[in-house]
Amino acid sequence: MTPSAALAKGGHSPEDAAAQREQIEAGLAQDPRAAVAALRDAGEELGDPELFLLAATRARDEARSSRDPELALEAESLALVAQDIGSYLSDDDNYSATDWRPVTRDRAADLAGEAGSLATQAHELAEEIEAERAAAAAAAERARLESLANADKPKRELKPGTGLIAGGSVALAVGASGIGLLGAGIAMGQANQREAESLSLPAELARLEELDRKGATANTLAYVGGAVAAVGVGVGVALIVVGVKKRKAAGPQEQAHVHMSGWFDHNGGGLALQGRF
Amino acid sequence: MGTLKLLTIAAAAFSALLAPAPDTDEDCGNEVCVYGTGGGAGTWKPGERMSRGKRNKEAKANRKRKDVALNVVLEGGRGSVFVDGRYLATSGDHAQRGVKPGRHEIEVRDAGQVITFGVLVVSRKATAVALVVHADR
Repeated sequence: MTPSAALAKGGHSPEDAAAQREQIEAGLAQDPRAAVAALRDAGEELGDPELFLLAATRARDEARSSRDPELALEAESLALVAQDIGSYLSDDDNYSATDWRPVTRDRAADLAGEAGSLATQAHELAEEIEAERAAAAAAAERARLESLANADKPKRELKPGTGLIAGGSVALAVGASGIGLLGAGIAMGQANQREAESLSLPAELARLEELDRKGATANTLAYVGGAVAAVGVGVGVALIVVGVKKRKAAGPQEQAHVHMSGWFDHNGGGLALQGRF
Repeated sequence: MGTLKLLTIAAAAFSALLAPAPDTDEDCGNEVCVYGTGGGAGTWKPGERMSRGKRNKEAKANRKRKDVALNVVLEGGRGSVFVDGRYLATSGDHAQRGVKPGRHEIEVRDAGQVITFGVLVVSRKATAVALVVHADR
């Protein structure tokens, strides 16, 4: 049995259609997708562009929140049908020749415009969501490849003796600072001594006592510096020697080396340390 | 008549006996084809329109005739179909409508662009008619 032709029963007015829409909307499911399906079905049965437009709006909104590109394309398709019907009914000849008028002619023209904009928005939304998905897929693929590459790459292992050589280098640096202190103490002491010898006593006795105190401080500085230098250099050299021996024993490919040099001049002294570990 | 020719005729006759009798009729123009079952289809008159008065007169004249199931299929593009001023879906549960034999105005449009329009004259003998519109032709 074929569906009966509603046209033969006298047509449809905008008021009838509005009442029907109210009933349809009142009975819509809470689930947005079910509501879109029901509106589409009713729109196809009644040929009402408002129902298509409503379905398209709901589908677009749901597609936007759920990031579903297929639903966004369905929104576009629904909006295009609403635009077709609106465009058809906004034509004077078409409108006056039919008894099927779910909307007024003025509303049909407005509706065609609204539906056209909605179709464009829905299409752009679908493209936007597809682009997001493509970017996410590319990022996931990049992460996968990176994790594969990291799994293949051997972990960097410290060469044998590196810790000893590094520790020795630090100790040498401490020793070098001790040498600096030693040099400074000696230099201060010598300066004080020269000044003390040039004083005329007993007129400058007070200055002599002051120089004596300064000399004692300079001596202390020199003793501490000497001790630190001795311990630092001794420990440093010992650690580096052991470290280099350990590295050489590990294999011929290891090319670690340490080069130390020192200098003294009238301003003081220093220690330079170069190495490759 | 040679033996080979006799065999050929016999094979053709046998094939004709085996083949089912076609129950479809068709009228296929450049852009629109009409197919029908039940011993008739219809004819397509491109570019013709029907006024409201003509539509009412046609409906009145054929009101006692049996409905014919009408489908309109759009190929090679998108658009919406309007039969006597009312939207008809091209797929799904509501893609078929019962119409009376006689003249019906059909328009297919994509937004503001009319793909085709004309009058479909549905045969009284037809039980179902399918109009196929080739939008790409």
